[in-house]
Amino acid sequence: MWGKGRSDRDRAEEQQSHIDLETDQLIAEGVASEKARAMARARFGHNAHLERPTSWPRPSWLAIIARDTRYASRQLAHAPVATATILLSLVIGIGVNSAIFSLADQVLVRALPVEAPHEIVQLDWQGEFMGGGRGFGSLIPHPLYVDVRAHHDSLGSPLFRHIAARSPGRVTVSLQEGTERAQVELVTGDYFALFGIRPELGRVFTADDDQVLDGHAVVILSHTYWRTRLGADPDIVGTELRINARPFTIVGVAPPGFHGTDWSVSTELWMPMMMNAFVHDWGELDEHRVRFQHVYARLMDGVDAGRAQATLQPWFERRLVTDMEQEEWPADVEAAKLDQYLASTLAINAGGQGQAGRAEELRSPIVILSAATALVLLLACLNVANLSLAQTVSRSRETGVRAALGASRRRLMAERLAEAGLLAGIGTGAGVLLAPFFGRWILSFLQVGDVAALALRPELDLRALFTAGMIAVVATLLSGVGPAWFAGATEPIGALKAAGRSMTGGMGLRRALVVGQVGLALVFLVGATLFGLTLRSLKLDGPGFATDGLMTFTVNPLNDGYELPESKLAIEQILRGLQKLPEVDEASVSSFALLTGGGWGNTMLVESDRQFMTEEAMPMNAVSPESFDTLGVRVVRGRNFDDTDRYDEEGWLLRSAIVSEEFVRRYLPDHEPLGVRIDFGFGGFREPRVEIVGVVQDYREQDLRDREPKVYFSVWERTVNRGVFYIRAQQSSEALGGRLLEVVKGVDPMITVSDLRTFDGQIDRLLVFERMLATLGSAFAGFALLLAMIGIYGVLSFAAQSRSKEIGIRVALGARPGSAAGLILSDAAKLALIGVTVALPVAYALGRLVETQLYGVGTLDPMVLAGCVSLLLAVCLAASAAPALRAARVDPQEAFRAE
Amino acid sequence: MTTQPDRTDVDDRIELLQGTLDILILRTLKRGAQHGQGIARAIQDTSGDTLLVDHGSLYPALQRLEKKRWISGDWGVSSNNRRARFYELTASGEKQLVTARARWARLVAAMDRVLDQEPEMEGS
Repeated sequence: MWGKGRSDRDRAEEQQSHIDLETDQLIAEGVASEKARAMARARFGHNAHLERPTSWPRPSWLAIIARDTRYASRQLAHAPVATATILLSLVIGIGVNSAIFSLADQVLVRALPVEAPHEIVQLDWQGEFMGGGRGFGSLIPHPLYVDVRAHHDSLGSPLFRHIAARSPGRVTVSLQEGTERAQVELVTGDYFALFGIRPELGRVFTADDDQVLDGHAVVILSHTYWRTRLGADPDIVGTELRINARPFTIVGVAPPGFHGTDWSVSTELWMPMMMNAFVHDWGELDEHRVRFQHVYARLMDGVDAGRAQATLQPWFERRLVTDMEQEEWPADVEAAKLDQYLASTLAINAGGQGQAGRAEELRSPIVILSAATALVLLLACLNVANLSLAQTVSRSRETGVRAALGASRRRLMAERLAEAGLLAGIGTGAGVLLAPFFGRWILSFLQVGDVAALALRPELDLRALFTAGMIAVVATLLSGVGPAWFAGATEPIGALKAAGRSMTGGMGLRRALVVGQVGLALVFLVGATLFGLTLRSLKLDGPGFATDGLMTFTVNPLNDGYELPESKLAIEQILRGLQKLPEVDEASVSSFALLTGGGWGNTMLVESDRQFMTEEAMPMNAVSPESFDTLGVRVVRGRNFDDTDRYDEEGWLLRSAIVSEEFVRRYLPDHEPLGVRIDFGFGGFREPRVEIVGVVQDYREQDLRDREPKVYFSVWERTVNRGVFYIRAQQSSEALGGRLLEVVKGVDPMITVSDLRTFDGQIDRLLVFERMLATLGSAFAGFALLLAMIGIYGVLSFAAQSRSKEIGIRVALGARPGSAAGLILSDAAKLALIGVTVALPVAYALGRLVETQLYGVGTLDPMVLAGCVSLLLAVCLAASAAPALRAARVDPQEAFRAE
Repeated sequence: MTTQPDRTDVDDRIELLQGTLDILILRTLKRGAQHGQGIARAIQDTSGDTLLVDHGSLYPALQRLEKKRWISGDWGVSSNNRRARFYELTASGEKQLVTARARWARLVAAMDRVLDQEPEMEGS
């Protein structure tokens, strides 16, 4: 064979030119031109070279790929079930993974859309704070922020380039269409510089906006708010916006895409921190023992968080001591608590992610889902491997024939790879295309009511998509290469001889894969059952009061320009108005909304036969006397609040309290609860001033899992800045909602109503995560079960087929025909049992990890485990029924003849 | 019409020994670049038409030599204006020619010595 480097055509041309030259010369030498060519040809000798290239034309690589792809698609079309299953696994594996990991990225990892987020840190008081707080996450009292800002450079070089504090709030804004509530972020002057946010219009805040308490009636709009609420007016800067009935000057518009540091809500307005008390009616900035701010800082070049923390800590420890001289410092602090206080650290943590506010709760469901979807991808890969292996084995005869006819090992491997590549390509492509739909589907669980405010988007993270796609492609190719290796290694003779007899090649591996599938199916099944039961018991237990016909709405008269004493009067007027409505059975008012995930809480000082402080803070509320009746819960001992439980002077004076049955069980088990005196557990009251006058049935205050003891005060003994109304009617409806609004308008049209809703919706909102876990869990479990079924069916069909001769012999020797079915079924049972045995500890371990998400069911609930195992075994046996039946019908003569 | 000069008295002509074609090609190219047909004619002519070169068999040899980089070929135009592939000797080809010639000389000398014994052997 001639060497490579020149094309056959080039060589043929050269030889043609040789003939021409020789012909020319022969003619020149006198040969007749008709003869000359024939002679030249004759001299050339075996001129076959001219007619035919020296080898078959080498097809281009494109043609090879096209040919292999055609062949591969024919092969795949021959096994439609296997192909469809593989594709389905890939699509679901990749689609769900990309969707979930994109969500997880937003919830767990993503940095704020700000300049150099890795340089941003957040301060956190770790240890005993000795005070109260409002809000979620790492809260810092304002004076500490001021001091850190003043002192971080007192110990040598400055640590922070910028340092700023923020706190969230809600305000009432008067727009042309009427008043509405808006999300506001109160920030100090350095905030925008810290995050590198430059204004779209006007200016951002500076240190000049940090000067006078209550003296900076200026506001910056978010780009979205400016566009959607104010018509993107380009001349908006300098105009006025009425916020909480006070005119604010709009000084700037933020750039698009920036919605503050809490990604769980979209900030619409920014105001100077100096306006905090105006927005909240609480939270004076000089309070040392109340914290409600998040403090962010940007590190100087070359300073890391660890060094910043180490540098600040000695200063912070000195400050802990001087803080005790403040007049707010509680009297008579227990020694143990004081030690904890003095051991506090000021942690400097990574802050580039911002905080998640209430959506912190979303973290564990998302982590669980991420783990589950990773398992789904694993399951999909197992399935792909199993089916690829099965196809290789079932084709070994064909492969053998082709090898015998001279197909090279390279050729056979290339074809298998083409098949795997085709599967991976189609599966991944479809998965990528469908990922957005999975994303929207998963997000649809979260977009209920309040949670819809979550700034989560169904967008797909390209990295997540890429990662999941790569894993699937690699898995598919690997499971293609493995079989391809076998295919290449096929000894023609061996394969031909073995065909139809004992093709056990790869059977051990296949059985192992099926065991893995069964095991994973059990894990998913247990998980789905646990979450399903959790959802069911939460729904069944409910909030402890009837929700049908219950409506609620909230007013904040202080945000509408009211002062404290008048707001109490207005709220009482609204309540009386509601009670007069004929369609209203009961109406009541309280200070905090039920079942919103948060509320009012504190530790309590209790004086029975001894004086003690409760271990943990407990939920509490201030309610009107009609509240328990409205909810339909009974006062089981003592009395309800009545007209005597009022304090109509300015300020407040709490005298009577009603506690929950759980409070009595936990704190006064052997004591008459009525008459016991309690008070807020700030740390030092010597004589508790509030008397327990009644005991009320338990019901959920904060969320559906709330089992805490509770304390209720009379709303009329307090200052009333806000009223959360509860109305029980024959039926809650939009029409009733309109009537309720009229009542409020009748008292004062200036008062803004917010959060008007029925209670059924509220329960749904509370169960968002549970429903998501239960539904997705069931979907995953169903998918896993289906794959396990297909896996078992495939392996056993194959076993039944390849053992037909053995079965034939048995039957010929006198075994009952049906006994063969038993053989196959016991095989199935064996596989399933091994899978279950392997998976049970895993299911248990994973169950322990999700324990905090469960309710009304234990991780080791024997009924759950037994039920799941039984279901799985039943499914496995059902999958093996067809192969078993086939085995039972084996006719010995047929079996031998087939050889 | 002229009669073809009979230059192909087959009986008198010698088929080339295995491997000798290479050295002939190299030697021919020592005189300058030449295309395949020219090489074939040159060998025939210089050998007094004694050496029989099947023109077709030249090409595998050319291919082999080119692959060994002893000669290099490129398309050009012949004296009568035909496109033809011309070969020329490379530096390593020249070296190879020297080596091959020396080996040939040794082979010839050895052959001669063996063949020259014959009369003595007859005499004994």
